[in-house]
Amino acid sequence: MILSYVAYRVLLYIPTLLVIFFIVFSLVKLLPGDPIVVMYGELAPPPEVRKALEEKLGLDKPFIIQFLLYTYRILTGDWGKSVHTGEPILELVIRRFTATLELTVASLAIASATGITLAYIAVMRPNSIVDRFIGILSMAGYSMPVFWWGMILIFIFAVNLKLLPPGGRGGLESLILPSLTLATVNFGMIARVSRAAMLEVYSQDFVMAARSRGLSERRVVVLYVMRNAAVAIATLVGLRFGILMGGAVITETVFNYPGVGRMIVDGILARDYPVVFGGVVFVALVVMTVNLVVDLLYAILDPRARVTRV
Amino acid sequence: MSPLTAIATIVVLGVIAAGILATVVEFMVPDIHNRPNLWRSLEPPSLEHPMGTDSLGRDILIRIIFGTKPVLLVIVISVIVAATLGTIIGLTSGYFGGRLDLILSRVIDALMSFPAILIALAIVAALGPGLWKVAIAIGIAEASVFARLSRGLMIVEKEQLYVQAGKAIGASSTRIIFRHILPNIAGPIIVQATFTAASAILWEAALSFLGLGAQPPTPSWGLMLYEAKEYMRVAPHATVFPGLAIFVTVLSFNIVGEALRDTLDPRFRKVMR
Repeated sequence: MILSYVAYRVLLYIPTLLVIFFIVFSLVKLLPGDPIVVMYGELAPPPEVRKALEEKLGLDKPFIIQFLLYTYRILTGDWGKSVHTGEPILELVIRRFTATLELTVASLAIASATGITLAYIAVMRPNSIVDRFIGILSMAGYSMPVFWWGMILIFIFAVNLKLLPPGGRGGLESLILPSLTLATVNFGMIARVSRAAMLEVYSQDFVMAARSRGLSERRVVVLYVMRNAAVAIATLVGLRFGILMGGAVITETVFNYPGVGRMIVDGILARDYPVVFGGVVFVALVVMTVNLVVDLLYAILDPRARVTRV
Repeated sequence: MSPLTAIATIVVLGVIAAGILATVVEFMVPDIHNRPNLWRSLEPPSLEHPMGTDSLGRDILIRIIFGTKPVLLVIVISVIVAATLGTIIGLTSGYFGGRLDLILSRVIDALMSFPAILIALAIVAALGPGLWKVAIAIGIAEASVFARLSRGLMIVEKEQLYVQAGKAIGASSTRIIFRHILPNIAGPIIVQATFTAASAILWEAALSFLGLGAQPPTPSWGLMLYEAKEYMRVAPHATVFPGLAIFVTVLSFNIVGEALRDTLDPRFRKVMR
C-alpha cells in the first residue's frame, strides 16, 4: 500500500519535470535575436564554431527535437556556460544555491519558531482579542513588501546603530538581517496554518476526554493538540518552501547576498540568459523535489493521507 | 463588520477610485506627477510637501497618489489573466477528469513548483521590462492558484444533482460548466481574486524595485523605492512613504479578502465558526 503510493507519486514526478523543462525551454525560444548570440554571447563566431553550436543546439531541427535535446543536456549536466565569466552554469548554480539554502533554512527556523508560538497562544483562547491581534499581526507579516522591510532593517541596524553588516556574506552576523527579513514575511502564514491545524484537532473527542479528566488547558494543548497537529503543520510548512524561495530572491538582492536569486536578477540585468534560465530550472527542480519528499514523509507518518490525492 | 474591515474597505475603494481619477487627470495633464525641481531635491516633509520631495525635487505625496494608476493597471490585468487562464484549465480538468485531468494536473503541478516571482522574472527576462509585461507575467504566474482551486471545487460540484439533470436534458458541457456550475463556485474564486490582487501589488512593486517593471518616470511605488534607495541615509522619508503605501494597500486587500471569504466561501463559514 505505502510502496504503491510512493511509486505512484514518484512516477507523477517525471511528467511534471518534463512540463517544467518545456515551460523554460519555450521561454528561451521566446528570446529575441540570434540564439547563438543569445546563448553563447559570441557576436560573430567563426563559421565552423557556429556550425558546431548549431548542431549541438539542433537549431535546424523541429521544435520538439530541440526540446528533447535541451532536456537531454539538462539531464546529463550540460547546462551551458555563463556568457560573461565562462563558468559552467551547473557549478555556478550549485555554489550560489548553498548560500541561498543557508538563508532559507535560517529564516524558516525563525519563522517557524515565531509562527508556532503565536499559534499556540492564539489557540489557547480562540476568537479572543489576543487571537484577533495575532491574526492581524500575521497578515501584516505577509503583506509586507520584503525589499522595503529589508531596507528599513539595514537603515536601523547597519547604518544607524552599526550593529550588523548591511549586506554581503561572511559569518553568522551577515546572516541575521536577511534571515530576519525573510522570516518576517513568512511567520504569518505559518502561524495561520498552525492555528487552523491545531483548531481542527481541538474539536476531536480525545481532546475533550483529556480535558474531562481534569488536565490543565496547557497540558491539553501541548500533549494532545500540538502533538497531533505536528505532522500536518510540518507538511504545510514544507509545502511553502517554494514561497520562501520566492521571497529569498528579493531578499538576496536587497542585501547583496550572493545566492541564486541575486544571480538570476543580475543575469537578467546583464543579459546573461544561460545563467538566468539555469537558475530558474534549478530552483524549480529543488522546490518540486522538496514538495515530493514532504508529501511522501506525510504519507509515511500519517496513514490517513495515503488516499491517492491526485 | 469590524472597524478594521471598514477601514480596509475604505482604503481598497479609495485606491481603486484614485487609480481611475489619476488615469483621467494624467490624460489631461500628462506631467502632473513629473515636475522636477532640482533646487528642492530630497527635502524632508513640510507643509508645502507633506511627504517631502524625491531626488529630482518632485512631490512624493503627488507621486504616491498617481502611483495608484499603475497599481490599478497591474491588479486588473493580472487578475483577469490569472483568473481566466487558471479557471478555464481547472474547470476543464476537474469536469472531464480522466486522462485530460492527469495531463492538466501535471501542468498545474509544474507551474506551482515555480515560485511565482521566478516565473514572472523568467517571462520578463524573455520579453523585456515594462509595466504591462510585468502585469501579464504576474497573471500567468498566479494562474496555477486559480486552476488548483477551481479544479477542487469542480470535482465536488459536478456530483450535484443539478449537474446530472443538466446532462440528462442534453445540455452541452460548455453550457453546464459555465452557465450552471461556475455561478455556484464563483464565491471562492472572487475571494481568491482579492488575495491575488494583494500579491500582484507586492510582485509588481518587487519587480519595479529591481528595475524590471515600470520604467521612469512612471510613479510606481516600487520604482520610487528603487530611486530612493541610494539616498536612504540623507532622505529616509523618500523610502518610508512609498513603502508604507504598498504595505497599507496590500494589507487592506488581504483584510477585505478575509472578510469576503467569511461571507462568500461556505467552506470557511463551517470551519472557522
